[in-house]
Amino acid sequence: MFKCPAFIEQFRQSIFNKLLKSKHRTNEIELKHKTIYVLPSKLGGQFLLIALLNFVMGINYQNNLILAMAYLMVVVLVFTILTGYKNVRGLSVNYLFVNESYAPKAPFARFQVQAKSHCELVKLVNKNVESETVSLQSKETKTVEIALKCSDRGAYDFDRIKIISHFPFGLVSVWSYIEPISTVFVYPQPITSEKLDTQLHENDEHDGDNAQVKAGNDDFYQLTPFVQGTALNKVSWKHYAKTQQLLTKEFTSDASQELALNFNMLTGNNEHRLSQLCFLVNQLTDQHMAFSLTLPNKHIAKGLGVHHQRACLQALAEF
Amino acid sequence: MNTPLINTVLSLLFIVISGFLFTEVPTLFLAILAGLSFLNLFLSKFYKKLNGLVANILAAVSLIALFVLVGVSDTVKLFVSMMLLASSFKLLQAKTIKQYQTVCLLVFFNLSTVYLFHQGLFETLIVSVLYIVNFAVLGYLTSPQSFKAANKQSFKTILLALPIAAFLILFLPKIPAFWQLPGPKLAKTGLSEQVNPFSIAKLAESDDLVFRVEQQPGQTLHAPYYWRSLIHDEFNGSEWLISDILKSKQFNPIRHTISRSNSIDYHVIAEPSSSNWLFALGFAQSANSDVHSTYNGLLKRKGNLNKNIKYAVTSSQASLILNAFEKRLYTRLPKMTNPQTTALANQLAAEHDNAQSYFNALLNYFNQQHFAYTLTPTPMYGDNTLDQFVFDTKRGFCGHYASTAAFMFRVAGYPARVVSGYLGGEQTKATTLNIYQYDAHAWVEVFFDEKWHIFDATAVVAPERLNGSLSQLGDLNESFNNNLNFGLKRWSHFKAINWLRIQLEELDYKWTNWVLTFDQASQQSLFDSLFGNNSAWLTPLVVLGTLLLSFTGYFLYSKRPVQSSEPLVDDITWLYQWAKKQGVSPVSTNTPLQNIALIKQQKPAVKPFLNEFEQIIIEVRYQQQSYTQNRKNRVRVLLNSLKTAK
Repeated sequence: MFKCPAFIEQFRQSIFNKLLKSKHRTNEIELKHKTIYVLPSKLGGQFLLIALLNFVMGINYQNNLILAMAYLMVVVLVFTILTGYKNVRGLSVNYLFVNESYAPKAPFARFQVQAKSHCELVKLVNKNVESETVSLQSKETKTVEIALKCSDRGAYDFDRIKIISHFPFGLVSVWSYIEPISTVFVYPQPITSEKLDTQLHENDEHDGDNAQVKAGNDDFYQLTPFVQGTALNKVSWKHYAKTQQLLTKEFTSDASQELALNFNMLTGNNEHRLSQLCFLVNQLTDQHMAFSLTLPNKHIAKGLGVHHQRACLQALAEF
Repeated sequence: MNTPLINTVLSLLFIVISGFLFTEVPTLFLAILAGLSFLNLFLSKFYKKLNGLVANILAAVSLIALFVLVGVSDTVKLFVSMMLLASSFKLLQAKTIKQYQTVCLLVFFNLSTVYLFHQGLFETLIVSVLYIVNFAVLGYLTSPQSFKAANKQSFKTILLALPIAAFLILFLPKIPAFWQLPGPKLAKTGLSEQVNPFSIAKLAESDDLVFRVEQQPGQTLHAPYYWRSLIHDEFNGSEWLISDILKSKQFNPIRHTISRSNSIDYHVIAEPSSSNWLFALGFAQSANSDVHSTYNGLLKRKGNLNKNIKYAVTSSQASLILNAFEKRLYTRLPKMTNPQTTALANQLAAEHDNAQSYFNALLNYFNQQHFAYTLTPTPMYGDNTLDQFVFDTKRGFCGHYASTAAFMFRVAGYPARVVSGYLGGEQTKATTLNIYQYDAHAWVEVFFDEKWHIFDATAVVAPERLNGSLSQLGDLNESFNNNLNFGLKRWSHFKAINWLRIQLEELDYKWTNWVLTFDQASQQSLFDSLFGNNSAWLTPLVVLGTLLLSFTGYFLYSKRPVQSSEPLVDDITWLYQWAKKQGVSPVSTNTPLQNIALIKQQKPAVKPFLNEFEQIIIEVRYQQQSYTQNRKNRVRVLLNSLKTAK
């Protein structure tokens, strides 16, 4: 296939952005006069070419019937443009979500389409990836999924998704775009390795040493204001002596291990390290263990649970 | 995608298109084309496609066959056949939707090429049907739900588009041809440049229409009608030809005449033809830009052979003087042929010393010597065919008599020539004449008294032939019919069939007169009659206005609510609308049954109907019984009776 030089592609993009402005930068779009674009499709262009050939033949042979064929084809093409436009008018497309995906698997986005009136053969297109084609009865709602074009780890702006229909006869392309305001994260590919296990284990050992040193004592964590009913042996009498303020000593328990995942403590290239971190984040979350994450450009404080996991994975993706 | 169905439909399309070429290309090549389509039909049954190598070999063989069988002499025919062949192969190898779509596009072009050869009403109807089916295939390729629905939609679209296309034909300015393309050579029988009747054993005649004549009010043509087409001035011993001298003279300006008399105007609508000669009475001239008036008062087409042409003619009786060269030209004879006939001519000439009496003597001779008119003459060979005819067989058709008479005039020294054209015409309406291929005729023109006189020996041998068409002759009718191709004409002695034939003929006349011959001149006169002097700016205004209006209309009309596939939904919706008009508004959150109860409560008069309707809803929607045709009809009846119930 013929490939456009990069600068032409760039030029095209900038023209596109100028023309489209930010009409389509929304999570929810209803196709209206302003946001529907209609042109003959490639097939329609060829159809027009045949009509032109017929016209030339009709003119040169002064043959009214051939001329009628040519005119008929053009009129039908205009009809299909009108029908095609009417077909998608009033269709609304809502962005629902993007699923979580780990490289090298591309994520997919889920949209909800709803038709005001009967709407035939609509599909979503992202570059050359196409969703299934759906037809909607009036007021009907369907969900459509489309794969996104990013399979490498990273955080991406949302692709401009084309909503397109070739109805009727496939002679026209009636399309619009939706560009949800959302970032697509592709998490690193989780990689487990022997080394990683030992590192985790070393960490444990280190913690274990500490525990031995402070045998019988929990790690001191912080002081909090005294609340009625707290055991008196937990009150920090030292502080009370100094400041006349009742404070309670809090300790972290041995059971909840404090783990600090650190990018710099791992070996391998960046991607490999990120992959290992990704694996750890998921495993620790599965084991309900709190952990913190330190990347060269970011630190995420200790935490636990799904939201914490997502924050960490997104940080890894963004790195 | 339902590949077998698409394959089958497209193959059938190709078979029908090939059928249209039946008269134009050799049968063997046609068999190849049809064979390819049948192969496709066969393959589609088994969901298989042709192996690439086999397809390539087949393509190469077919291409060779194309060049050998169709030949390169007629470029248009070659081109059309090649397109059809290429499209068939494309279909043979099509696998994806895109490839099938390409085939559909090619069919649109192939269908147009059919009109190069056929423009009749019947053919147009068939092509239109194919056109609709092709659109349906195109629609079916993108939304493969039901082929029947696709056909319906296609039909609707075309039906709506057709008036606009017709309007465009009428009102878009007609552009002259960009460049002259070679016209297709039509395989139609008819006149030829040589008149050689002697080797023919049976004159096969066709009932193809050649041209129509429209008489102008107040200017009635009088029988016999001798429609002149060709002048043959050179006799080579066995056949009459058009000499190169005469051919070159065609391009001279129309000849100077002493005077013209009996001038008469009429219109001729000629059918497409493979040759460029036209038809007119006497010494004719036409002002039509597509018609060339030749030196000798004949008319010729300028290009565009493949279309109907309508032209106005002024015919007259011309008085003129032949110069010495022309006299020599029209009395030339080869030496030493047909000695018996030569002797006979000399003898008659000696007895009758002026042209008029020699003319009459010849007529008498043919009349009294028991010559007979026949369409199945005895074929004659050798050098002296005229002698054989005059003294032995004495049976022949117009060509025999014309050849012989012209020869005998020349022997006596009178300038004479054979003219071929058509004689007669079938009166279809008060003012129109139809001239068919079987009306073809040849006669002699002999020059004396400053005029060319028609000498037609057929007139004395079969005098009925002079008035009216051959089809109307009693005696010859049987032999005429036996020589005719199969056609309605053959059965015209049945009253019903003859009536049908005349109706069809009338329809075809209108078609030709209004559609096929609509050209720049007719368009201009239409504009003038509609807009008068303002046509220059009114026409584009009207065109744009009408287009805008019709497209807006289409836009508003199209896409009305599509019928729901769920049973009874449409009926219930209809009921709600009816109820609203009656002042009962159904609640949208209610179930249909609740709403019906509501309506029943407020409109007790319709209770019995609604009770039954309710029953059907329960059966179909809740008990999952099938929505049979019976139930459908019952629902329609029930809902209709609502309207009449008080």
